[in-house]
Amino acid sequence: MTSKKNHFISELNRREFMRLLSAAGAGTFLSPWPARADAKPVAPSPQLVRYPGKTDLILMTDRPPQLETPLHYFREDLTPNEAFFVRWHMEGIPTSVDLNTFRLQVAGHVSTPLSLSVSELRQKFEPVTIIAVNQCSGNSRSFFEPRVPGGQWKNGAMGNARWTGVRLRDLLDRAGVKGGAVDVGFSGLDRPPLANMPSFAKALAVDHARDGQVMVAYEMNGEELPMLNGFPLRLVVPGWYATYWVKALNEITVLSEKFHGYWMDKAYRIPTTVDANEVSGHLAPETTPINRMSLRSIFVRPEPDERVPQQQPFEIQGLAFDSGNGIERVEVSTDGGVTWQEAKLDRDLGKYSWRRWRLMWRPAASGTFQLKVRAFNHAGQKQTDQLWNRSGFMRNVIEQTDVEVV
Amino acid sequence: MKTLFRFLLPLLILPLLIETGRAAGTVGSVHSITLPHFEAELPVAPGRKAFVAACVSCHSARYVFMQPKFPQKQWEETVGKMIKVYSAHLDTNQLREIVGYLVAVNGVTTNQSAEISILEMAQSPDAPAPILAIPNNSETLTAGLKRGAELFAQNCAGCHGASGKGDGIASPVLLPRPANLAGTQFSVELLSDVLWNGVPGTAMPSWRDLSVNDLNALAIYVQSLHPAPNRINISVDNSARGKILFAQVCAACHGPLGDGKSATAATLAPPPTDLTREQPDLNYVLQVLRDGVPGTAMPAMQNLFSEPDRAALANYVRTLFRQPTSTDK
Repeated sequence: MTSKKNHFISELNRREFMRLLSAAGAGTFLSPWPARADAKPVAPSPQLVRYPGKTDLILMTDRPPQLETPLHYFREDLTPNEAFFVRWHMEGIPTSVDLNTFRLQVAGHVSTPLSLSVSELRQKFEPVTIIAVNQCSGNSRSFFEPRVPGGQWKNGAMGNARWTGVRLRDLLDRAGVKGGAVDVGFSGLDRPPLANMPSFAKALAVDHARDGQVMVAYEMNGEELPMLNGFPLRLVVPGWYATYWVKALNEITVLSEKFHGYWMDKAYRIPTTVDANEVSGHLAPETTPINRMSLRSIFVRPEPDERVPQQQPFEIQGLAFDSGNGIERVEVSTDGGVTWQEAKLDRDLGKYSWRRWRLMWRPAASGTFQLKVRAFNHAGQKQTDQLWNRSGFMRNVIEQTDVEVV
Repeated sequence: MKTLFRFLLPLLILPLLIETGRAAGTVGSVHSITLPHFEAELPVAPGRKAFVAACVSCHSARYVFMQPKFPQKQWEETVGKMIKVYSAHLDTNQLREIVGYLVAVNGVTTNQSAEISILEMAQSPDAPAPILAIPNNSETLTAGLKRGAELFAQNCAGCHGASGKGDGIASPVLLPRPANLAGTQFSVELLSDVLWNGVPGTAMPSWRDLSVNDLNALAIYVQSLHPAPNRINISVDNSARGKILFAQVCAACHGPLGDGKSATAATLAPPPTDLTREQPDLNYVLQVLRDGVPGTAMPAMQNLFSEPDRAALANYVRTLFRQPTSTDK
């Protein structure tokens, strides 16, 4: 990957940097809370904030922004663009893009390097559309026991959207992949704050890149991508965790050897054990890059702390999805796993979409009820009760939620 | 009137347009946003200056505060990562100061590795028992057994005995005696409950000072002490009779479902066994039905039952156990 001058990153980042240094000298920071005299840390309570192009989302970090989607948005087939979660790795995120000068480069081990504007992508390549779940590798990390460091997401670091763009295969075919190609590397407009930090870059094996499903999207739910979700282009890798879905994509490089870089070799790795499971204190000796999404099901309704009236019908709702095998059935228990009932599945929106499910429930009496949900897919996979790994990745255990019936 | 309305209508829509985040705009071909600021306030503690000088230029302090309270070792690892991977330039003094600050504002300083965030502690001072589970994967299971065996030898064998049979050194002086862990099948949920809360009215303490992962290893190990899933031989006649006897004799304390929930149970320490989460071996049940459990409210009922009735009741009691979901089907 060549480093190159980039016209499009706003000067704002440098101004922010200078301002923070002087603020550090003064010892004060902008804060929405009043100052506290004691030494106790200000509890960063789950705070809803509104970023450009976004509605109220849960603030995880502000710089770079990481914003979590409130659970109730998952009661819709598609997650609205303004509610879609946000996650960047480093503070040099793109905040300004000029479509007149922006180009997607396709280069490396190809016959004909390409340099394409967004409008050329729209006009010169067949558009395709796919509905696919985008889930952060570390979604639900805060539920791991013992706890692990990283983004302390609950279940909201994911979303389902209709992605429109061009097949990566069509781009690669147009450029002409030469014999001996091994990997395809991807990077975007985002930049690390210090020059010798590893810039964010991911790679896929060339056969995967050319499978006809991986695509470069210029639209999300029929609209241009929000800036915070990677305007103007992002990679879409259906069925794989979101770390591969490079945002603000502007460089595709075909490589004649395996890609090596921090973000593939050191970060985003999972134990090579069967279910990416390991024991704290006895870590698995070998790791591999994270890849396909595990079979998963969650509750969307009732929400934690929601109280349900007794002896009235209440519709339990949730989601199920996997890496693209298709959900076969979802089972729900309202008695802590003693008995299970089959939930009703909503219509199939495609194998890479999530599948919503429902179950009508009429709690017979007041009290605390332990609800559980588990999904089964067409590949014969099952969810288990227990998962831990050092990075807090791939959470997919049989979900449990305690409901207060009143 | 109509023209006026048509003119004003767009103005009515304006507030809706502003609904989603401010400061996003397109001028010609240039799309841009202006990021808002939500910097966290940094509490005053030793090392604050070092933290501000080294860390805040790259990322907001929220990266620190969204973590649970980590022990010093974890914060050292994290700051180490900043140096090794993310090019932070720190000398040993700065490193020490920064780690000190992180531990002071969001760390645990005692031996207790209670990995609960400051927020969680404020909201629920008495955390519920962790959800422990037996892994399906054999590698993880083996590692858990190994660790569990170590912990058992260190913490449990003194009462429960080296092989968990309830014959540890301390056992003769305890009333009730420590449980024979090899003679009963326990659900993981019960093990989680007992390890977290102890058993009131007995010498079994709470083990919350162990990490959740250690507790999980213990649960794995204790479950392994009971050789195999219990087979139940029940004749149909037997079962019906057992059920009737249970309702007459046992339900008052053990609850009609055998789950230890009854009005009487609330007054007893130790509480009556929850038979949906514990399945004693047949010979142990028969023995208890004869001799009771000294040190508890479970009476000796030698003369109360005929042999066939005792057998029927013993069989019935063992049908109440709920198998864990992961071994379903």
